[in-house]
Amino acid sequence: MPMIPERERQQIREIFDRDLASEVRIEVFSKKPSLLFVPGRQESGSGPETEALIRELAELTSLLQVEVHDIQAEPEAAAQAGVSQVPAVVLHGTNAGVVRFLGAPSGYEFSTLIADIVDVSAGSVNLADETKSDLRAITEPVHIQVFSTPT
Amino acid sequence: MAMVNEHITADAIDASEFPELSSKYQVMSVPKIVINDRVEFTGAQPEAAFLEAIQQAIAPKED
Repeated sequence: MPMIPERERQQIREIFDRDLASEVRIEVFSKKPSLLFVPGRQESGSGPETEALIRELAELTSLLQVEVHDIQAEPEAAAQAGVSQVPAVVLHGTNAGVVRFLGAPSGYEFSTLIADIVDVSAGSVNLADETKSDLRAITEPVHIQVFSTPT
Repeated sequence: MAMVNEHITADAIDASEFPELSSKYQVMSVPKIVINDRVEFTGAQPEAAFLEAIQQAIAPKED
């Protein structure tokens, strides 16, 4: 059963057709559910769901490439992306820096994900010129964490 | 902002799935933004305020 309702899929397809300009590679970090229950180990049940959601998005356009990594089977890929917990989604497009979603992108985060896919594809940056030039001058690492909750 | 500079990493985090992070940063209302573990604010901010927060977060520490 599809995760995204048909009407929303159609809307997203239209957004992608209209706004995507270049290819976006989406890495999804997931984990195979373990058969063994280990007390205290955090099991995120939404890994496979996030993978399915991203794959459904990729079906709506030829410009999205999805790579799924199992965090336990591919620790190097996870380390390279700086990902230690699942699910995690990393967008690779025209963005110079790193754009990641940690946890399932549901509710409000889902529309943020769509908007971010479009932005990294189209290279659109809705910032004032002065802000952009101030940002470009930064040479230290900047880690911005935005916490939200699914609505 | 991550679009523009390779040194910037932007994470959108689901607070309910990462309770340890949420309690580390005492996330009580959202959106809560934390920059370099040094500067925090809650709620959407105008662009200039956000940029200033970033600049504060990377400024050399004063003793």
